[in-house]
Amino acid sequence: MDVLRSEAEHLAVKLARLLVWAVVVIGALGMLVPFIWMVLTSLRTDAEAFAVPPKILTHPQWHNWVDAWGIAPFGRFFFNSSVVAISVTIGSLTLNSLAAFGFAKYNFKGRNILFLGLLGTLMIPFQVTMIPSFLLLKQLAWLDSYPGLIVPGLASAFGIFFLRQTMITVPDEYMDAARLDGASEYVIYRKVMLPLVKPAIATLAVFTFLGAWNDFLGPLIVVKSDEMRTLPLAISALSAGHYVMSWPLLMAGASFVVIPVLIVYMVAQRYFVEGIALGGIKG
Amino acid sequence: MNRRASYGWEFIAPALLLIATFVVIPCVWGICMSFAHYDAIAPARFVGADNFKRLVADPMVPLTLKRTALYVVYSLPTGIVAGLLVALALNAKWFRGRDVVRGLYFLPNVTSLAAVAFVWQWLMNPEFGILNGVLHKVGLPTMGWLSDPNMAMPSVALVGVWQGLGFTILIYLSGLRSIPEEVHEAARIDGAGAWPTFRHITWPLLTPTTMFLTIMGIIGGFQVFQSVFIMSGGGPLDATRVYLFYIFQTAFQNLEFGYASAMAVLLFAIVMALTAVQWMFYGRRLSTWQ
Amino acid sequence: MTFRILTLAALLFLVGRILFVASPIPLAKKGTVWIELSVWGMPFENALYTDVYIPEFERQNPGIKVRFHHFEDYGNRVLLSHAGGIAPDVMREGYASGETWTRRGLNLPLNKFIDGSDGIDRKDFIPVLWDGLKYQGETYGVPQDINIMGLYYNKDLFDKAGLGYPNANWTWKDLKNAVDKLTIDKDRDGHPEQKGLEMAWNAGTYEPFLYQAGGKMWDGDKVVFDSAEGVEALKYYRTLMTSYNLVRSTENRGGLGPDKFFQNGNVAMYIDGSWETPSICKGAPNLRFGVSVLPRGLKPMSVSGSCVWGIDRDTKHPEESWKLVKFLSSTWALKKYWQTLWVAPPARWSALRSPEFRDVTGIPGQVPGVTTPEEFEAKCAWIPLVLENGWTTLEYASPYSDRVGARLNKGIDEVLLQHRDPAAALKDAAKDANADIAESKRGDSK
Repeated sequence: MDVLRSEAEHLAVKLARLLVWAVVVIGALGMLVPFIWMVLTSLRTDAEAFAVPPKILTHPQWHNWVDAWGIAPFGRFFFNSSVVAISVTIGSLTLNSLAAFGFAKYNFKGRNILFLGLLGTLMIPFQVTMIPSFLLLKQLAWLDSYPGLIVPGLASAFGIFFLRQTMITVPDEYMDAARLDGASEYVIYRKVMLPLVKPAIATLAVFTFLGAWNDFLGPLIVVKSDEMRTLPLAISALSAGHYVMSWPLLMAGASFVVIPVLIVYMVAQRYFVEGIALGGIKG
Repeated sequence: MNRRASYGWEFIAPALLLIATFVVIPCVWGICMSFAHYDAIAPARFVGADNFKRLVADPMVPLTLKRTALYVVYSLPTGIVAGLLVALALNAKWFRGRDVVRGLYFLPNVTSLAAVAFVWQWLMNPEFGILNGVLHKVGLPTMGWLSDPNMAMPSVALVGVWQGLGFTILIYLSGLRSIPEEVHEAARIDGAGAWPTFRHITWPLLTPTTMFLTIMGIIGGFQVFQSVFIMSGGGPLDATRVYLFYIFQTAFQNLEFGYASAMAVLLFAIVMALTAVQWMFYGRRLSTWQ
Repeated sequence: MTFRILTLAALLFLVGRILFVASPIPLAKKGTVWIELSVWGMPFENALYTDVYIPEFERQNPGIKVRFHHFEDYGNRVLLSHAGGIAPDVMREGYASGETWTRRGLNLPLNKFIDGSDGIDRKDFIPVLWDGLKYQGETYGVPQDINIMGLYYNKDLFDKAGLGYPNANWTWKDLKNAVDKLTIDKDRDGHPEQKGLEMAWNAGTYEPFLYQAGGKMWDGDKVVFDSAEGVEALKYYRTLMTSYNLVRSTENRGGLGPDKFFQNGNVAMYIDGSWETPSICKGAPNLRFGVSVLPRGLKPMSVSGSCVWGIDRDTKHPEESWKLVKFLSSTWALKKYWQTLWVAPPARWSALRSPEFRDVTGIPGQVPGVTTPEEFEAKCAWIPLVLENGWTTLEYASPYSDRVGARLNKGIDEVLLQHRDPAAALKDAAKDANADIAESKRGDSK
């Protein structure tokens, strides 16, 4: 009797779990719907895209993708986005890790005050600095140029803070040992400290890169000409009907922007996810 | 020793220089500019507190703040509840394929919001979009997702939830992982059911995580811009005109840099207050844990 | 040590730039002069500039090179680039926004060029177009075109219903009748399979009805669209729009305008500007359609807009910029403009009345042309009819058009979406618009 009941209970628990599992998995697949619909639309003819109700895709129009590549200089947009995101990532990691090293391992006068001040700047939202930054870039004659897109993103108080927290846990003895071997302070930074905080740097790199790659408001203010557009701006121009007014082609254009990121993500998924869990960063 | 300390200065100088140039100076500049009338075409003119007086009288300010709050009201609880539920399921030992599922939920988070907002706009098209297509198919009334003033903000918030859900799940997962296994063991031995365990143990222990997500969500509400810019342009009937969008329009479309700076200063004050709340909370959490 | 020096150098560089480089270093006077040209328009319009105009201009003026920009969100982008000190030298400007920009000091006064030795003949342009370009005795632009709102109709759907096509004698009643007859909702679910009429809900489509009813926009420096005529027009407008369940926002983006619905073939009539004709021909090559004069209320009337060429006040090359403006508004260029793009009729009588006007070639592979005289009759003949008879107006245009338009849009939205009383909505909209104008004027005078 008891055995029977517990077996029934067991079954009920199993069924409930299966149900929960199914709901969660369907939800996960649901996250993909916009992407799937984007690709499906991009393979239709104009008339099919406007069919009510939507029909099943029978004859994929692969040439749409070729056509869409021709409607706008997507190659140039990719180049711009890459230049900006890579420069920002490399530049800011270099500068931030140096600064973090300075804050973590050197006891100079005014350090604590400066560090507190630095933490204070974390509270300043971009919205507040956005307007003067525009005027500053005008003064620098950096509007509509790569420096204007890159330099403001180079230093981040958060990056310094994040790396300093990791560097501070590295024992001083490692550095002292290197000093005894006659290493200069820069060599210590490069050969001792950086290898030890690699995971933190990698995490920061991923999010700096993504942040720069997907940034919208900054470039929106800086960029004037078509040649200087980054991919998110290209999307904005697409959506305003700037290049073409055919939804299949528009969706093909959107696919160019979304799919490379998705592929990179699928390959390096673990890395992204662990990174967030580790740092709890990115809003 | 002294010589070595000077290296510290050397290391921090470049980064601090940049932060001073592109954060501190603009911040001070912005505050100064909020007391001026400036359109970058005619020379700037000091106008005292005029901009702030206008800020108080401008009906668009409370309206756009309300829209921002509305965005948070729609997106935040939805995101938190959905995220927590999924995280609880994913955290269960019996859950198969956790990494893949977690990865799928996080997927929208890495894509450019501009791009996905654009795609959503197409999904939400009242005539040709798949959302209304499905509603029509199952016999439900179709909706004017972005064109109905009552639906536009929920629609924009839906995109926000969709994009942010993966992040919420991850943060909850790490929160759940930080709860020691013994706590749940002990509850099980005491014969506590699933609900009481959650209600009296898991949920209270997750409070810091929830609080973190809440504050992040509210601050994030003030950053909502791209989706509105692309999907609805602030309309219909100002239904999605959020505060940052209003600042952007005032500054970069009307070129009222002074007045927009005053609005930004108000935003600064609000974010500072929120951050203070967060710090107070974390301060308390630290003291209770120590 | 090197690092220390680099940091110092970077610091000096930044400070130096901020202090001394307030503007980009001017290019040397010798050699080629680069001038920037900006336009907006439908994607296919670029070809005229990049493939026809600019090569020809550069051939005629060997020392000058033109850098071409096509901005979306045009007005904001131009204003912002002006604020940033990087405005294009020659800008295509909307008629009303040009007025706004002139008051803000964006445009270079052009009298000395227009009436100078290398000038142009003002009399060859449709006279009304100069009105909005004048400010305090100066002229701030040269017109390119004059577009007109018209009534598009799907011939097949009219034939099927056994109705005669719209013509210049149509009245409001005829339009309403046709709308009702051509709207078909078989399953009565509120989503008609065929719609009698499509148009965007906004000030732009309301204004023709305002003038047809005998109303006007302005009385001195105050808006008066809340007059009895204005209310009557909006009441009629409402009967056209809400008799079936259409949800359309005035701010819907994404190139999914009513033209797409018309192209799709299940919309019988559609009201929009003349500029949509080539794009509809391109998007729906098999659609049999025509365009007609808008129906008359008290009188036949439509509204027009115009594109004008202006020069940036801060340009470093005013002489070269003028050369480009003169070139772009020459009879040759305007004939080409109509023959290739045919988005709007040219602003010069000499181009409008030329034999080339009836020969619309398009741009092979990019813009379709008009192949037969019958097709020209159906799609284009209404344009000279309106212009020669003076059945169109630009009275609504003012430096405050943006704000007035926004208020009016809101009023129309309230009437159509929230079932507000037209008289009350228009009254509030006019009151708010007048307050905006007063506010804006106070800003100007300061």
